[in-house]
Amino acid sequence: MRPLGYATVAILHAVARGARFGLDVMRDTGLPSGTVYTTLGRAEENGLVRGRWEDRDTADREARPRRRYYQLTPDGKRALADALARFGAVVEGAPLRGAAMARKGSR
Amino acid sequence: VSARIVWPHSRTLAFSRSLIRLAGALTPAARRAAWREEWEAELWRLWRDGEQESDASRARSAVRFSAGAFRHALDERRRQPIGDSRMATVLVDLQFALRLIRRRPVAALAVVLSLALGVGANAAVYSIVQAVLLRPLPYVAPDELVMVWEHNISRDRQRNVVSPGNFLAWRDEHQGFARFDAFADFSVNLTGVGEPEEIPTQAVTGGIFALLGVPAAVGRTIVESDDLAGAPQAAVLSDRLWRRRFAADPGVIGRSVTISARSVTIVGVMPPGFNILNPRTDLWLAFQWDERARTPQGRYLRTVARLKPGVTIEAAQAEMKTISARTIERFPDFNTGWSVNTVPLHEQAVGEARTGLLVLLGAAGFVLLIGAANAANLMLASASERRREIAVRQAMGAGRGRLLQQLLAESALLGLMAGGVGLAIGWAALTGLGALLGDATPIPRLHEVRLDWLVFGVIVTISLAAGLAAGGAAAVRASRSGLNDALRDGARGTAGSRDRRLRAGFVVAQTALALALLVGAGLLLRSLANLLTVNPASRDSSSASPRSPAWSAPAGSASCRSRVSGRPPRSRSWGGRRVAAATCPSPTCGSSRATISAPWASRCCAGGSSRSTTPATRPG
Repeated sequence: MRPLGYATVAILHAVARGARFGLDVMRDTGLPSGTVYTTLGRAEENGLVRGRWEDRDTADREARPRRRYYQLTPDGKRALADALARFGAVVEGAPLRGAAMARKGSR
Repeated sequence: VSARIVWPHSRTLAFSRSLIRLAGALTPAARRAAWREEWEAELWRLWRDGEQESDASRARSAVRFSAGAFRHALDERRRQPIGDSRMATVLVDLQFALRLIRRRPVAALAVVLSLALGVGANAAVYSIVQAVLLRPLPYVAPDELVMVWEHNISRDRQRNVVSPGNFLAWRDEHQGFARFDAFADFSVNLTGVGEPEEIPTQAVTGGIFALLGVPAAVGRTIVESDDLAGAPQAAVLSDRLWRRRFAADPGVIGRSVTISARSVTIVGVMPPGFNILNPRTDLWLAFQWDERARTPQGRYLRTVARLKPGVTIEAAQAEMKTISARTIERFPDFNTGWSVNTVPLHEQAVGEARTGLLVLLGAAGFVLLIGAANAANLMLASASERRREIAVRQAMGAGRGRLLQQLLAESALLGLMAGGVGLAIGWAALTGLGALLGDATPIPRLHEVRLDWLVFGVIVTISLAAGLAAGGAAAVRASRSGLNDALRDGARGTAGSRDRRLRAGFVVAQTALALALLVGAGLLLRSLANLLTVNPASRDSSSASPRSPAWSAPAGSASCRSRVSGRPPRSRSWGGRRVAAATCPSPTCGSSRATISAPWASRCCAGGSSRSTTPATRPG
């Protein structure tokens, strides 16, 4: 498999840290919707994430469409760990927007 | 998507959802519903979460979010096998066509230019036709508006200007009109605001702005009370004059200015572009007739009336004829041999331009047909050269329909490119025409011409149709040819005999169309040449008639008369002219009887008072 690009790593990293929905990933990474969904779609196709529909009743209770949430697969976790090892210095040195905001919020 | 979803009511949200639906059309059909539901669910959440944000920020986020759906949809499509979605195959065909065009730019350029010249001609002419003939006049309920003219029976002048005395009699006696008003073109001298200047003006009766239904942009319009004899004189400015001479100052309302040596109060400014059948008018003043005006003496008015609901123009004309008969009895010396003529205002505004414009539109259509035939020929030649490629694709299993779709996609793309170039040509032509003619336009309402969205839509449709028509023959021929034929003809390195016949047919059609166009153009030029030879005044090129400089002498005063009878004003500045003279009124404006009768206008200084944009109008 080709090495993961920076955007993919950022998105998988966001999913790993609990951003389950596409909108959460966007907010966490600061990436635009087109990039996030395209990357999630490809990651799902490559078996790095698994997308699932939330419960229909939950959506119906709020009279809204069902959301789709994503989780890392074991392959995704491994690929992310490899990528983080490669990008480690970069990721640690220049934290993602969401992580930076989280740190700012915890002060 | 669940039927129980409650979407907040918002146009931005609806627009964002429509973007998602549109993008969804690009995705494979099998996944489309789920794909849309996921995007809509996140949009719904984004909208709900943005409740604390400003409307603009919330709208921006929603639209930006939804726009991203296109990238996702295109990526989904790319990851699917071709043929899964009809829209996808069209996009693939367009991409392929673009690659072919890049590979053969000269051939594509020839096709695009062939079509673009015709499209450009149509864009320019259709813009004019749309503005002049199709767009309603810029007044309230313009279909109810008519003009009533006097009809000089002996000279067969059906649209002659009207005498104030007769107009007042008509206005008193009519039943079929909701309102009936009049106006006249002339000019006044504006002094006391910078340099004195001669301003193109219209004198109007008090109800004309209410009749047309156009309110002032600033202040108010002239009303009935302004038109009473002896009332304080009120003036309404055009937007152009307001900006040019008064720096668009809203405080100009209530200010007094000197107009032809009389103090006049500015009461309003009309919206940009407003005019009453004369786009050059910069000022409106009320007539303020007194009882003397009821005695007919001289014709210079144009009248406009609004039909009452349910009254037809024929009924109005019949009534006006009855009233006219009574005015003949009252003033036989003045009115014998005259009648009345009621015409729709739109017909009057369009004037005699209708036939000419339709002929011009026909000619532009011919140019487009010739261009399309030329493009068809070029595309046929191009398709002949590509027969081997098409044969190989057939051999690999491409069906006829699939080939046809691909070839037509290329034609459509070329047509759209020609549309773009043609619109640019049309825009340049209109801009050039506007600069060339300036105010001296022979076509009424020409100043309203512009390339708007309607014209854009029509031209894009025409371009697309022309491209498809031009490429249609080549596409059908290419997709129909058999594998064996293609390889056999291709081996000889020449086009097939059927292709040659078809191309010869196009050449014949082009020649025939060009000949018809040439004959038409010749006749048009002949008519134009005839028109140009009709010059009632100043035929001698050594003569010139500059308008008089604005004088501030009181109307009809001894000072004014002495200026006219004395040395011609500024004769030295008329460089190179050996003789200069001044007349009052100008020699081409008709008899002195035609001079405006109003307190602030006089025989001496009114200038060419009966100038009119209507060719048939003559002072009587």
